[in-house]
Amino acid sequence: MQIICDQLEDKSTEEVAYIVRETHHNQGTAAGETNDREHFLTHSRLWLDMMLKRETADGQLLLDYELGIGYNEVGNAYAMNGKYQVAIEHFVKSIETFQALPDYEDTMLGWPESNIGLMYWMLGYHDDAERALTEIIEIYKTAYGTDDTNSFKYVASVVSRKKLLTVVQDRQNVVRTWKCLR
Amino acid sequence: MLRTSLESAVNDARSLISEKFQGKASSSKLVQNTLLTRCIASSRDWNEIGTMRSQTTEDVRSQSIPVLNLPSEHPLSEQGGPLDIQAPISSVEATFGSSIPRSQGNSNPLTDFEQLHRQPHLPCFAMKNYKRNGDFFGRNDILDMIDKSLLPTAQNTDELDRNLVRSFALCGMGGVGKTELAIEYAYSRQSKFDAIFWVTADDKNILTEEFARIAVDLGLKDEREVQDLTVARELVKGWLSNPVRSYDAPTSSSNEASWLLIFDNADKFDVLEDFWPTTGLGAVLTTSRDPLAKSQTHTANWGIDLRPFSSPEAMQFMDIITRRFLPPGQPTQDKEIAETVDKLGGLPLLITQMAGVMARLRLSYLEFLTLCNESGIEYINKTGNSAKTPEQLYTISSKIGLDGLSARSLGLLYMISMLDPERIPERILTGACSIVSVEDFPKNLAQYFEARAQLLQASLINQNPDTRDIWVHRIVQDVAKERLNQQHTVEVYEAAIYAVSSAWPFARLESRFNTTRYRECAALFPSVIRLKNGYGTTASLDTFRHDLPSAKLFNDAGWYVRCLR
Repeated sequence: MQIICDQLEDKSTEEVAYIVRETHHNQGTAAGETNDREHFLTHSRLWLDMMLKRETADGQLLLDYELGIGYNEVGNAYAMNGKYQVAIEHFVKSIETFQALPDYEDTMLGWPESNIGLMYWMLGYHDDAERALTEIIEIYKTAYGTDDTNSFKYVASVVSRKKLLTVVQDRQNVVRTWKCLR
Repeated sequence: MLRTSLESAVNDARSLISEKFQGKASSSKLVQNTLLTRCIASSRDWNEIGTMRSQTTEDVRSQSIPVLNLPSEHPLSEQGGPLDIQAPISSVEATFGSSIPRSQGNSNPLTDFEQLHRQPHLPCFAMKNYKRNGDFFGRNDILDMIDKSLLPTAQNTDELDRNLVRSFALCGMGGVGKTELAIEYAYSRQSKFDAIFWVTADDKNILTEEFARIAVDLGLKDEREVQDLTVARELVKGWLSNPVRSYDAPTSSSNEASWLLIFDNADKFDVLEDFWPTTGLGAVLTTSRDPLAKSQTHTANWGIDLRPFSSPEAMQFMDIITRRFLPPGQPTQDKEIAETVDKLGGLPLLITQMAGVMARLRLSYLEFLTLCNESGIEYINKTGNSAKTPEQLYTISSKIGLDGLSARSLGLLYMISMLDPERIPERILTGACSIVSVEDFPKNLAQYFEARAQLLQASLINQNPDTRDIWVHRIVQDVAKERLNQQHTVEVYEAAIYAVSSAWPFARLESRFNTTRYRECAALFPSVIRLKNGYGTTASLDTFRHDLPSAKLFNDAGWYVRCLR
């Protein structure tokens, strides 16, 4: 895709720019999935940097869902590179971006808040981790019910890190939900 | 003219009938034909009196073979005495005029519509120039299956059942081995039938000629007498319906002959209408590209869609036919053989053909594969062909049935050749009709269904009856793609990108983890992979321009597959 995008004759349109950003996003994510920390960070940053250049008609930074996800993804990349504090800063930026959107919903925090919980746990702040994770569990329980089968991302982020379950009060619920998904 | 004919006919009739009634040597066929031809001149009146049903041909002379003798009580024979040829008479009267006046004739009238038959020459094994293939391999299960359908069984003693023609249809794409299998069946079961006839059934005129040849082979007609093809055909059909060993012997089961009639290449069912035997102690084996041949009234009670060889079968077959020219003591080349037969789609025709090419060019498997990847099967075939003229060149595409397709059917096949051969959701193709601008691709559903029907009929594609998904053999895809020039390749590839994109359920970033689209994606994803794999090759062509839709499609499909992991 990168090759295709590089070869496109007209790269000036937002449609092309979106595809180029999406390509970096996908490449970064794929690198993260394969533990290629360096490329995960490189592509995620490129993606975020492209978004930070977008402006509204009155010259303000364009805030949208994509930007929120972009901050979250760069936070993940930093976390994978062991830079937990920088990662937390990006997750917080992600939450702030989502909360600034006119169509904000609490469920948008599924990724960054559970990631913050994970960072706290990695840094040894278990109480903070439990608070963050419990909060996001409640948000999703409220939105989708106890046996939530919509929230692949939420469950995956929590359950794939099994040790983290020790700090999650509603452990049985999470396990049951995970089984439903499988 | 009529008058002269009648005059001459009456004279001939007198002498002929006189000979017959006086017990002299049987009438000369030549005289009979002369008589009858003159008698009826150019009339269909014979039909009106039920002599012989109307034929598809306009050659009414063909209906003149039976020797008609009216019983003495027939009202028309009341005329008695010599005909007054001065009086205006109809051709019907002229015909009847050849009957014997009671006053002059024998008091024992001949049976109505009696036909003078030559004795059949049995056993008769009329296989044209088809010889048994010493390299014939496998398919024993199918041969047994045909036996069960065509050979009379001990249980099948009911008179009605015995007189019903049994039939079996071998269906499948060109090159899958239908004809070879039918040849093998005929040769290996030669002792099971008193007569076996092979006819090419792709055209009515050819088939008529073929039946005339059978009439000669079977001894029903002399070679010099078969100018009248329809007569010959009816003679053969008559014998098939009443297959006697001898016309002189009394009717009994021991005088019944068994027969097998093989219609090869019966792709158009209407061609068979005038040739399909309905009764008789016989069996019909049909080969056809059209899968419907299995269920057509006029083609088969039973049948099978013949598939290419499985990989182990194909490997074994390839090994057998290449062993004779490869130097002895070669190390086992299972991997190369497997790759070769996979490239050839397990099609017996191509395996045989390419083995011949390997022999002529002295190629090892590895060299063949390298050449094949570089140049394509069609090119290799031509390169390795010893034919000197273009007309002699054997083309794979023609053999598997691409020649003769309509432009739209080819247009559809080209698009199909870009997608996943195992499973192409039909909505990709139907959706493409309204958005694709490639010249020969169907532009609406009516055109699409017509093109699809032709491809199905030729067994070039298949359709899952439940899901309606299309599947196609890889070799068909390869050969179809090889027919495309560079510009056309680019056009069809881009059209395929548009077609799949229009069916692909793109997801917004916000809902990319939503699993509800997964089922749709799963059906389309293999075709996306095919397109992605073909991107590099297509992009290297001069007329190719990189475009956004392919990037969008590959991006989103990449995300989908990422979510599955």
